[in-house]
Amino acid sequence: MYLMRTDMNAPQIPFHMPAPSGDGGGDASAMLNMLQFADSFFPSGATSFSWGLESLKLDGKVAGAEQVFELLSSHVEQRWAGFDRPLMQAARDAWSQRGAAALGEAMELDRLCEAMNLARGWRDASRRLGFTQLRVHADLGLGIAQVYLDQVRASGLPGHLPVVQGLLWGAYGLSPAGCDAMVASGLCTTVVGAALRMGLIGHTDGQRLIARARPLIARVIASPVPSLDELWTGAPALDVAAMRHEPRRARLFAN
Amino acid sequence: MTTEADLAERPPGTVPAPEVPDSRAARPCFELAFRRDGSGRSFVGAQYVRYPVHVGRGLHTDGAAPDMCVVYLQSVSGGLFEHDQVDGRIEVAAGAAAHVATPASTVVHAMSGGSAGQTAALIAAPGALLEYMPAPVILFPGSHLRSRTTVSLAPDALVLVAETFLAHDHAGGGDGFARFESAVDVSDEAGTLLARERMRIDGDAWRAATVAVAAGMRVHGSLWVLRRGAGDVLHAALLDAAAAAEADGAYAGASRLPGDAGVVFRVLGPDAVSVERAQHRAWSAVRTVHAGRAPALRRR
Repeated sequence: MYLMRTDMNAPQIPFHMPAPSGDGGGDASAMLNMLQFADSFFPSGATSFSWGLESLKLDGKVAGAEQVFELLSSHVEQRWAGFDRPLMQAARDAWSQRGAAALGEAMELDRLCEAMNLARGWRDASRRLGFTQLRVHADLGLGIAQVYLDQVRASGLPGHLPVVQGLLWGAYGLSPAGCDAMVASGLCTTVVGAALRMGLIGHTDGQRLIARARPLIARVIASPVPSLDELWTGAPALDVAAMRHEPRRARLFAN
Repeated sequence: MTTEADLAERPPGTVPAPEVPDSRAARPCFELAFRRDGSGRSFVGAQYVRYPVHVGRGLHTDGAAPDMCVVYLQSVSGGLFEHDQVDGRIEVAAGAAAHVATPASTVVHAMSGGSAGQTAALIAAPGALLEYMPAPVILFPGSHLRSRTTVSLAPDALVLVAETFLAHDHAGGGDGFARFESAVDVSDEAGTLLARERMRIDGDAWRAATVAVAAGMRVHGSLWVLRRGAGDVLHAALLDAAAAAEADGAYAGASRLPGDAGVVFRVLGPDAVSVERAQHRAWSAVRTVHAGRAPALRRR
């Protein structure tokens, strides 16, 4: 049996937090949860990553807003849609259907995610961000986060971000579409934020890019989630950029 | 079953072919098993081949690795056509060394909504060396290729897998290929998955040449250097090869694979020559680290 944290400052929150309503996405409480977790104020650690943008800029491949948008679109359509999204949704589904009994299933998803993250830059980023999510949600008192964090620390489980997100957000009872929107929105914010800090775009440009990406994201969210046998990625230049960033000594972002 | 109507339609004097079970689904188009003799020289110990593949005889033409057996696979049909399925299996015994390649590029012919598939199952025993380096595939308009390579990697084995693709619009109509899919599974001897690739690129995305997909390039190549515990030396050598590719206008990188399975080298180039040269540099770097000498095979 998994126990709650008992330290004095930990809130008394159960192992998982079922949403008051059936689908978890239509009520104010779930909506507020999503806004909290997707907010850039939430300590997710995402601002340390540029997801290939810094590498492409240093290689002279990206110089302005149009190419930042190309990068953003490719992340959504050529990577997230076929890879991170189905892994996250599989972990969320597993929790929704089997609760704590889905832990073993999540671990298998985690190992699959590890095997398919071929560039070390992507792999390390996904692990680091997954670890941060686990730590923060464990500190917030979510039992499953603490259990999974213990597995990561003790048995070398990778703790990849999409699997962790699916598991934790499933435990909060968040809806599939809500989880999709949170991840896609977070991805946009991270890439646009990195572009801003690199001086590639201005603040208004950034907001325009986020709005421009919305139809792409909506199209992906409206499409069926690929099965685990159908996982795919298709952004080779992004992969090369990630590889070239690994040995760089002077860099602002981790990937 | 032959009917009277069939007999009536058949020209006089012809005999119907016997109805035999189609064994193609059960056995690959080619199977090669490399062994090592008492002197340390590798040879083709067992071979099976059928249409549309032709297997050349085993050669020993690499001056830097005279004991390595070199075999070229050829297509009898002139490439891959819609609905083709060409499967192969290559096994290399403990301590044996083999280089398997194609003498020329493989054309993936124009298609109208269907696809073609090719698979290669590569099994490397402990201490084996297998270089599976077919020439590029050329994707014609409308073509859809599903390529799948599985590698069983024993301890101390080294397996190299090269894969290069480019699009060619021979009619000049502005049409691109439909889809290119590349699946690679690397497992250890026990079958535990170490690394998996599922690349899928639609022709439209490739032709758009956006910064994250093709980055303005026209040819894509991968060289998988699979060896458990490949170490930083191999990775460093491949990073040097990636840096050298820039002189030809190519964009390349290398990264350590998950599962301690080795290193993957990737290159995007403006033309086939630049990618071929980058791949050759990467291959030479690996051989030099592995055997102390660069390969001395004649260029295709």
